Amino acid sequence: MTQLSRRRQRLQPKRTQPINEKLDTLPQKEENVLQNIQELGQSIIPQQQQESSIHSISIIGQVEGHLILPPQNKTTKYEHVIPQLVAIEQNPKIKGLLVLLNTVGGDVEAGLAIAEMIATLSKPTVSLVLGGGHSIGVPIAVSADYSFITETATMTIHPIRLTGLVIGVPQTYEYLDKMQDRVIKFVTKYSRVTEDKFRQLMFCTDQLARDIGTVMVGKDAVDDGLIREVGGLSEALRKLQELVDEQEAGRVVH
Amino acid sequence: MLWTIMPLNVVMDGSESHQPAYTEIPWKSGILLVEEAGQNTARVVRLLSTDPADYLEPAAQPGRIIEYKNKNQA
Repeated sequence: MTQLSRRRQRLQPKRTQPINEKLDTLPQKEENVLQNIQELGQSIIPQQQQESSIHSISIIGQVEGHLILPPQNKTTKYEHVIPQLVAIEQNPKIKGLLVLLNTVGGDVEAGLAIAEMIATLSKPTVSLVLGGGHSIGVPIAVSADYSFITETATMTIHPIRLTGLVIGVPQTYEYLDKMQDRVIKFVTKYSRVTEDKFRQLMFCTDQLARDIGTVMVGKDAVDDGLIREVGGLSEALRKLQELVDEQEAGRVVH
Repeated sequence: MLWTIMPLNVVMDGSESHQPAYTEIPWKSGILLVEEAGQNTARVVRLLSTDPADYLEPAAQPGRIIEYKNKNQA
């Protein structure tokens, strides 16, 4: 029995109740309690009339890589996101992808893997940076065909440092430099920011009080060429629909 | 290797005491890796499947609480 039909039953008691229904109430009550507990914290999303042709993926918390992070972290599991992207590419019913970002960063390789997958998806993609798209969130944000940032959202660009964990690999300056180059290469390939500008943002010394790097709020990211436009949900969805229509009309997106 | 604005000690806090116990459940064309989450319920940790469409199923999303019945109790 679905939750809805059960609720309906509670609201509209049958006029003629069968005698044996009383006997059934006890186990049903227990089941209700269990279900109530299970549903705590879940929001009820209004049912759509038809299946949406646009799918969305949210990149939240830490991008989890080769290490399972302790449970107090909210994580995005790349091993789940990657096959989802494969399914989105394959499914003819799905016309476009909206990537929502609110991430504090995470694993470099996992983040780059997700970014490469989004960048090479043949269907139109639009990204929207909401609260924050820091560190490894930056390449993911620029990987989409078109990118948006909300007015108040922030993006932090800072160097990859020795605090990172590499199991069994002694970290050398060259190694960190190489990792950094991979990110810079990706970001400059998929956004309008130049390599010089991006390095300058990364190693800026007068922006962060206790660190080097830059914090960009909304419009700053657009001015520096990292993100295409300041906007919110409606702008992002409108753009995505536009790209979908363009692709359906046979024109090439990118 | 982590590249994040969160301090590493905050991210890794509790990593030593966190010792998850996972159970594998066959599901559709793959396997669901679940973690005990209290009375006859389990939390989905990961899906292992070769069918990409399985990863779009709401029931297989990580964090989803599923109910199971113990064969001995049934």
